[in-house]
Amino acid sequence: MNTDQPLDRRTFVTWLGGVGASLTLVQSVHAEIFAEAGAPPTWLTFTAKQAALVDAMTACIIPLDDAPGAHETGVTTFIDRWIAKHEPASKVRYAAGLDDLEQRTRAAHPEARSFTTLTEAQQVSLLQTIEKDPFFGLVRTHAIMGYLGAPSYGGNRGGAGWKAVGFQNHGIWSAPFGWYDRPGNDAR
Amino acid sequence: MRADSVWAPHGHRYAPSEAVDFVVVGAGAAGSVVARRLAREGFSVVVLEQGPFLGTKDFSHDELGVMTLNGITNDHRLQPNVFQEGPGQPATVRPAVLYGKLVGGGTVHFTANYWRFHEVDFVEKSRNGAMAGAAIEDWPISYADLEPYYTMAEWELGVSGQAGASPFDPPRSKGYPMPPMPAKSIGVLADRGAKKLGWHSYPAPMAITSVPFEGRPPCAQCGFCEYFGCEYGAKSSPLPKIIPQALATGRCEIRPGSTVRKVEVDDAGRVTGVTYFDRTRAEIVQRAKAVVLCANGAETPRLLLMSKSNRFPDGLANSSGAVGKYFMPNGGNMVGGLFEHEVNGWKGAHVSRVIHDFYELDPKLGLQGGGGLDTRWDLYPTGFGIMGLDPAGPQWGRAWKQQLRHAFNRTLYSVTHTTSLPIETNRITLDPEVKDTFGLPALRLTYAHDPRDVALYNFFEARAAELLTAAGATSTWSIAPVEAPPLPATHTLGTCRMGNDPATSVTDKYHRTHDVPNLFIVSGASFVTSGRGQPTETIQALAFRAGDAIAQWGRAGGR
Repeated sequence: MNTDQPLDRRTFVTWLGGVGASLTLVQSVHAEIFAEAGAPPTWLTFTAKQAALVDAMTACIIPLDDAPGAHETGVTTFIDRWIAKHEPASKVRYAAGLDDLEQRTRAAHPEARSFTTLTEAQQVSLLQTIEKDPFFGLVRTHAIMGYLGAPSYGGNRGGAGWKAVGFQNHGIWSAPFGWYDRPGNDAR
Repeated sequence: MRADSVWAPHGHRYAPSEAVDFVVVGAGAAGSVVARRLAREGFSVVVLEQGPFLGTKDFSHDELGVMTLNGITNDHRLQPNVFQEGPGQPATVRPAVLYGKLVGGGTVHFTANYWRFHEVDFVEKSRNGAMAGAAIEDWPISYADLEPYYTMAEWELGVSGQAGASPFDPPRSKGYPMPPMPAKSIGVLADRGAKKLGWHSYPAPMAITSVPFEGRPPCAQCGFCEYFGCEYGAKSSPLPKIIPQALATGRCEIRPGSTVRKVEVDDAGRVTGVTYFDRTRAEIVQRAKAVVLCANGAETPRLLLMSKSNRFPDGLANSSGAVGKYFMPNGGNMVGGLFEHEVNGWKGAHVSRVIHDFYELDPKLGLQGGGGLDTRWDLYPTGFGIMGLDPAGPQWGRAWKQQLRHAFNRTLYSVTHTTSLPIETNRITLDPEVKDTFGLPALRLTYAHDPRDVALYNFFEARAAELLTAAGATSTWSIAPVEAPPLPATHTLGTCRMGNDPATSVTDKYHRTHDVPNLFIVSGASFVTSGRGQPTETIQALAFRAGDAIAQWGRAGGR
């Protein structure tokens, strides 16, 4: 028994008009997707050195592959603004955590000047030694928030994080929603 | 930043010095329903709500703003909670309860699951016997008493569903006002798995419009339900209809930004009004001839415990000692399954199928209570990235990113919803040290899983994995390990239970407190037992029924 009430977009838009709403709702959702956020002229939370460390660290957590990673989407900008505006207590946690990262770098690679100058493979194996630490968990959470949160927060530039996973903040969907409810694929 | 207008009072304006017929504390699932009824009956009503008065234009798809920054829920930075995992355990500041903090309350941001309780949920004790260490009692009302009000709730709020689709459904006097929501791939897969297992999946009853309804548009399937307000007005919270109708009576005022700190009583032990903080933190006394508390199962007991006086040294309406006790959050796990093709659960309303084959369990299993499972998707991109994947797999780096990108569109979850036993030591109290932004004692939740509840979680987790596997999942995983307390709790039930015996319950079966003749409590706090998940429809059915009873009491002179 087919009880679904699929609604195509035209019907929906007609309906919106019918109740006095306007298409600006739909358009504003689109505008949100394509909002670009530029890098801040100055860091609000980090020193330039700290920002470089956060950038290197988050690039390991969400690396560039055939889709942009943390570095390409402004994740460090996101974290810098997020802490300044919403999570001031995390500023000292970053300062301490990044200091610790540099100390570990020098212990493991006496010749290296900074974590930022290590090869990616070296960086990853160093981070593997701290991946259970609360600081690493904090940076991971922030990196994902920056990569997949709304672009207005300074990360996810151009919605690139959303594109990478296949999400669209469209506002209106109708059947078929996925492969399994496409006519012919329904193997009930 | 929100415009000041969202804090403006709505409706008729009453002076605080004017003793209105009723003050209703909380404009949520229950408070809005009760306020509309009383105002329609001709009574003067002031509704005090902590949060703002938002409309469809104020709701967004901003995951970080709404979820991480508590856009429409209680903000733990301003109102910290303290959690203690059982009596005598260390108490730490951490989010313990989460509720909608705006006009419309939790029904603005809920997933919109709208389940009736079944007959058994009201008669657990007489059906299954007393239980050691758990204060199982029958409710003072039966399913049959509440049935007309379930129907009223479904038609007044606007619910989509298919009557008779579940062979386990309790009897109903009327079908749903709207047909079910689309199956989506998550429903097709649920049906496929259930059929293989001989279970009965059925279209989830959802408080969302599936078709045009009373001047409201049908759901646009934007996919932002749980935690979010609906910008289309398709979610059937009190915002589209109940609240405007309450205001249209000309006798109801809704005052947002009002945080009640005390219910005032006179020497005769009658309520005379409430004291609250307004947005400027000025203390205001609103006088009232009667007060109805609809402030959910967490803040209602806290308010009663803060309303101590010489006459009520243990907190107001607490001669039984039951205020705050028997906190029940409902149990449940979330099991993920990975599928070969695109599921795209994130497109469209979150829940599409429910399975109630295990609502009542074979006694041979040795389990207490029962529950249901559904198929759904209620994560957003950030939440999926943080916790949506199999915890046994990589959590960062190249392999993780690859998996994240592969799985986002191919993951389906089955969430289980189960009984919580009423345990005396699982309770809300006032923290002796931590204060909130108003200098009031922080809400403390003491809660430890009862092993019988955990056994039930495990049973249902296994069923959910079975369902996903039967539906064709190539792998399954649980992302809510039962060892952790389910925090913050969004179902806050049982803390001011109804009952016929004043020695063991807080209110009578008409929601009037046993101790104070002109004080009423209507919310999840009123529950005697937890049911089996999804309490909202029962909260609202109780509110419709309580509205009848309180109006009748008022008409008879309010003694």
